[in-house]
Amino acid sequence: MEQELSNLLKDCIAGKKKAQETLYRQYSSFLFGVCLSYSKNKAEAEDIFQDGFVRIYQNLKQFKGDGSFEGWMRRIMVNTALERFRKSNPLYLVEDYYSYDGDIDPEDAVSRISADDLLNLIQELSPMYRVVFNLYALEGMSHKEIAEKLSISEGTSKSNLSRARAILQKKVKALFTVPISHSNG
Amino acid sequence: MDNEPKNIDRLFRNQLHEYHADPPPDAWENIYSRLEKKPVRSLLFYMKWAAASVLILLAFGTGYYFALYQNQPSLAEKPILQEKPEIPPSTLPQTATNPNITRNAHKKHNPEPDRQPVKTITTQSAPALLANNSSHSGENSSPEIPEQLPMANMPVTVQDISESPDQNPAQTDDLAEFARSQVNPPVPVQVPPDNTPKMNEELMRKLLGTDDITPESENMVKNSQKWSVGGLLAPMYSYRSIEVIKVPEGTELNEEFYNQAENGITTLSSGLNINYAFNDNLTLQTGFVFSKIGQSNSDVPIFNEPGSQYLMQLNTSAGNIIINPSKFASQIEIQPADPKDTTTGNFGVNSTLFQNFSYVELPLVIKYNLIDRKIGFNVRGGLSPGFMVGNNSYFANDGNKLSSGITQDVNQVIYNSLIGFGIDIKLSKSLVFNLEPTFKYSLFSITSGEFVRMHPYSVSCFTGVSYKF
Repeated sequence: MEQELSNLLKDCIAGKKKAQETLYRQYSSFLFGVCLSYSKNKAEAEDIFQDGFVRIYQNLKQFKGDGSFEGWMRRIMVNTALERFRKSNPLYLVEDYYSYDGDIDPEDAVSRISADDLLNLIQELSPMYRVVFNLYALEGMSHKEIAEKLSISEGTSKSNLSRARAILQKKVKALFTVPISHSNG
Repeated sequence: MDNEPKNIDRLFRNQLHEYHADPPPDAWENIYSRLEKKPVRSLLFYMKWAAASVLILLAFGTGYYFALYQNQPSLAEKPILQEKPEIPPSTLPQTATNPNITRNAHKKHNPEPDRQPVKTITTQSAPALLANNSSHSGENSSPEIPEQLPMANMPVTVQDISESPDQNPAQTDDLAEFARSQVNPPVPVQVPPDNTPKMNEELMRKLLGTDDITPESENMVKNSQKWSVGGLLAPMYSYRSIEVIKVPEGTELNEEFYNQAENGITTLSSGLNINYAFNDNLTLQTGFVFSKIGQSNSDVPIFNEPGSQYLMQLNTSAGNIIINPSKFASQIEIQPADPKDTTTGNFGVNSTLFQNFSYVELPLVIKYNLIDRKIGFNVRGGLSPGFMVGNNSYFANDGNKLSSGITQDVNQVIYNSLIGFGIDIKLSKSLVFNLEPTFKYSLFSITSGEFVRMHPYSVSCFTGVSYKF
């Protein structure tokens, strides 16, 4: 499998169109899913997706094979999304910590809320909340790393995460406390 | 409270980290069209590289020329008086001294002071010596003779010598004379006029300087113009010879089909040449040439690209060109149902496809002059390997060009053999007009695919002006 991937990457680097298309078909749905998490809608996700994929092809030589190829591509997509975020969203600070009420049982929520529902919730967040929450929760970054990536303070990262969590918490609760109306609606 | 954030985080992470969604159908076409723009940047990169190489070549060439020039000053500029030759006094011949002979004394015999030392040594006039010294060149030229002889303070003249007829010829070795003159100037030399030892020809020429016009001195001037550089431009017709190794199953893609559908093209080549003349007849030529070869195809078949949902392939003898058919809707036609009236392939095109391969060639050519006059004639032969800097194709229809991308499986290097002849018209001492009809043939196939071997060839006529220095 590794050899197969290695040959595919070599052909892509050589500019072979068929190999490029094969690579695209293998990973496009996974990477488009990443882009959706960092976008407010499909159109924005598509822009990020195209920019990111072109960047992946152009930087294939730099992939040394010492980690997962999917992880490497995901990082490029996330970085492309962050670049777009920095260009199109003036940063604003949220200094106050937001406290949220209630709690959820993730196991219960998983059984009653689909991934599409969660994606919609993410997309409804403001850009700053969405980015900070994604970097922390999905990418597993620390506040220090997020602060460096977004050129903000760690405190700002924490406060944005708290606010994003609170909003998501409320909306998740709302979703699985009225499951019938949601599923019918 | 700490647990709650983790729960919500985990919920989203579990559901969304591996979330998959199909992108819009046209996303790949957009990405693909952006990837196709990359070769333009590559061409620019190679052109910059080629320009830098030429500059380096020129810099080295010029540096080498000036280094030669400075190490070999003209004979007129050479100081005649150099350091004394180191010869042990014991080896010097014993001669009598003549205190009456002075430098002033011989000035009245010879009004040209620069020639005095020469006459002093040879005891003859220069032309006379040149006429008969060949028989002596071996005898009296000692290997110990220093190149720069101490002539300026040699005080004896022909007149002086004739006044001393008793000198033993065995004691008149040239080297010994010079050395002795340094030890005990002034010195009379006594040599019978009819038995004068002669210096070898080369030594004589050095002593005479460049003012003396002899056939050899003319050659020296000519040989100093060993280097020349020039620009060149050539209309070039290129085509190829092909050998079909394997006909794809279910097709009629054989040599006859390709030869009927494909034709040669005419392009323009340009470059710069650097020449080094070993002698009047033999010259080494190098430099660089930007050349473009290729072919046109008025009947290119199109197939669906195997394993692809979007792409199609244009089939040519040089290799396949993979295209995105949505870009070429106006060029592509579905083949008629009657197979007798169709060409091979699922589709056909209604315009001409052009394939171009551009190279920077670094020729290494030997020129041999058969006629070396005002209008000269030479024959040329050598190698001209080329490094690919461009691979593109396009549909041409009614003056419009629609790019269709690169031809697959074409090698990056072409190994051309070169043969031709040249006509040189000397416009001035340094300026030469060149006309060089040239035939090039690729020694190896430029395609690496499994179906066809292709050897491009070209006929061109390089014209240009070169400058000798």
